[in-house]
Amino acid sequence: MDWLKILSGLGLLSISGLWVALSLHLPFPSFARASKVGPAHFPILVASLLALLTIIWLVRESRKSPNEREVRGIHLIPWYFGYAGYLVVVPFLGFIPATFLLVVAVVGFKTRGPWAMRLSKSFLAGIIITGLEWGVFQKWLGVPLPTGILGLWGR
Amino acid sequence: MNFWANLSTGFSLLLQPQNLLATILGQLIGVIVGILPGINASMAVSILLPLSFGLPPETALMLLAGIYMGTMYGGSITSILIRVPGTSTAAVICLDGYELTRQGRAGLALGITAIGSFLAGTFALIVLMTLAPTLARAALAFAPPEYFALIFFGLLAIAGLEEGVVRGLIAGCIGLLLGTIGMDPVTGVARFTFGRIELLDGIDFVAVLIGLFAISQALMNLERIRPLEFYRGRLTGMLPRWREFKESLGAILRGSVLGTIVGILPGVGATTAAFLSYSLEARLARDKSKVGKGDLKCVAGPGSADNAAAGGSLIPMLSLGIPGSETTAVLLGVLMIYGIQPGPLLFTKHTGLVWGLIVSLWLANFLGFILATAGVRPLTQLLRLPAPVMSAFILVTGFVGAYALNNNIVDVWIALVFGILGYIMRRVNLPVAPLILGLVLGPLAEKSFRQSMALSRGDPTVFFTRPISAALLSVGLASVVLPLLWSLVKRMRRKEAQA
Repeated sequence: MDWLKILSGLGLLSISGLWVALSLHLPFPSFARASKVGPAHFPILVASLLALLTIIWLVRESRKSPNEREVRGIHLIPWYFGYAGYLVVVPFLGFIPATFLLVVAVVGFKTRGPWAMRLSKSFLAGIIITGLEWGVFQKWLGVPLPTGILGLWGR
Repeated sequence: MNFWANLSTGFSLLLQPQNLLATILGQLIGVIVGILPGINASMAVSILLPLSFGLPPETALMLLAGIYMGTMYGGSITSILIRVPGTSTAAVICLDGYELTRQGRAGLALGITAIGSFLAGTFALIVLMTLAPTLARAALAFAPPEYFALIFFGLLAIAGLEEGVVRGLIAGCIGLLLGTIGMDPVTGVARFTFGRIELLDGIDFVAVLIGLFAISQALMNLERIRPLEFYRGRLTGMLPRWREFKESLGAILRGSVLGTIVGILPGVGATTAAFLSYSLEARLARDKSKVGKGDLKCVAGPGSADNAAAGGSLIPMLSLGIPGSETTAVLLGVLMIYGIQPGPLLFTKHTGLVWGLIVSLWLANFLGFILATAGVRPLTQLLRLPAPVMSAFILVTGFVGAYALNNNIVDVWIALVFGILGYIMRRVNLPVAPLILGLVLGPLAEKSFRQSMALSRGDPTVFFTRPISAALLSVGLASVVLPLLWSLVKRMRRKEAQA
């Protein structure tokens, strides 16, 4: 069975367990006791059902023939880290420089052709996308986008 | 108010300049989204949702519903011209649509699809106008047990009809668990907030949508970037001759009826409607050798069915508060963001909004027809836009959209977490739609469940002693149990055959 499916299944089982454990410590106010159903019952019910279904899913997946198409490995981890890095950098650099760098990186790495063309394309895309987003959201809709520690390009 | 008075209220709302503009803009965006492969209606609605926050609810809803209808038109254009479906609903149109293009009849294929889509969309809206208020009136008699049974039915149906019952139910349960984060709807006890004040109101639905649909999809698009072909042929003869129209009319009518019925069923959606219509046309074809080689009926039928399904899926959403598709689940969440409770009371409490939306959908449908015929040439120029640029644009818009919710970077982190979750779910073949439905309807389900239990003083038989509630629960359970039994029977037959 694919390692990602095993990890996902274990993750789901852990979350179900966590939900049940946390629910057991929830208070049950006296005014709600007439219904016999408190704040913990519904989460416990759903978490137990999730655990049961996850076990069924894992068992069924393990029985599948090896010829069936397996999920591919995660090639996108660097991109997720890159996007997370962007979220870390935005409050310090501000929206405009950080976004420009993100767009240049994405377009530059993913465009094919000679490096000079890739560079020019990515710079052009960086200027256009950053300008468009800033113009629409900050200037037109009044969303106060992060300005960074230098406080540049604010309202 | 009677039908005509409601309709006139709808028209007066639509004719307000901002609503008219929102409908036109929504349709245009929808057709563009439909043309661009890798972007679908749910994704477009999710990332544009924060843009609509400053708008009145009816204007926002017209914009977003316009996008939904528009994608149905746009998706078929690239399917026919370059054999790349812009949306999954248009995938089946590739088969005969592209063959017609190769035969130099691209204009005819596009024209008949646009006409069929328009007629089917109109048919579905007529059914919506007549059936939805009746359904809503009937549902007004519902008490908490019936509401719980209805939500339970919707959740089971959408999970059961997705790509595998167990996987659908797992996704639904994840959504239900996420829906329990925040204050308990009955006692006000804080649950699963891990001490974070931001989580007391629950997880922000829009951040979840942006993560699941925009960020995860944009990053997945980066994984499989390939240059698109560009259609360079001439586009003539888009209006079919009478003989060609007559030949396709039966397929259009069948697609309209089939699509509307399939759309009404929770979870089935426009893609299934299009595939069912294709198989119906292939079965009914007099000359079977033409199927798959440019049969006009096999283009007209699915092209009509997907549009009809889009209209049909709004019927359970507006009348019962149960969405019929992934995008209507998103639209349902949008209503709730605006403080509008979807369900039977929608038709009486927000008459103008509902009828304005219905009328705007018809206008959007008409505009889609115009754009899909007269606007094909300029719109397909968009395919020249490099895919990495599109992905970068979506990632940045996803950031701004999530940030704009509370001007807080925490929402963007939540969106990123759900982006990762969405990516993993797609990779391990877990459907996303039941998760959305579980998240939206979970708190309502729990509230009705506990109200019912309070009314019956803790007696769970209350759900089975009331006829409507018992019927809904039985149908819901059947929608899960029957596919499981069917797969079991198939497996046993296969084993017998092997033996």
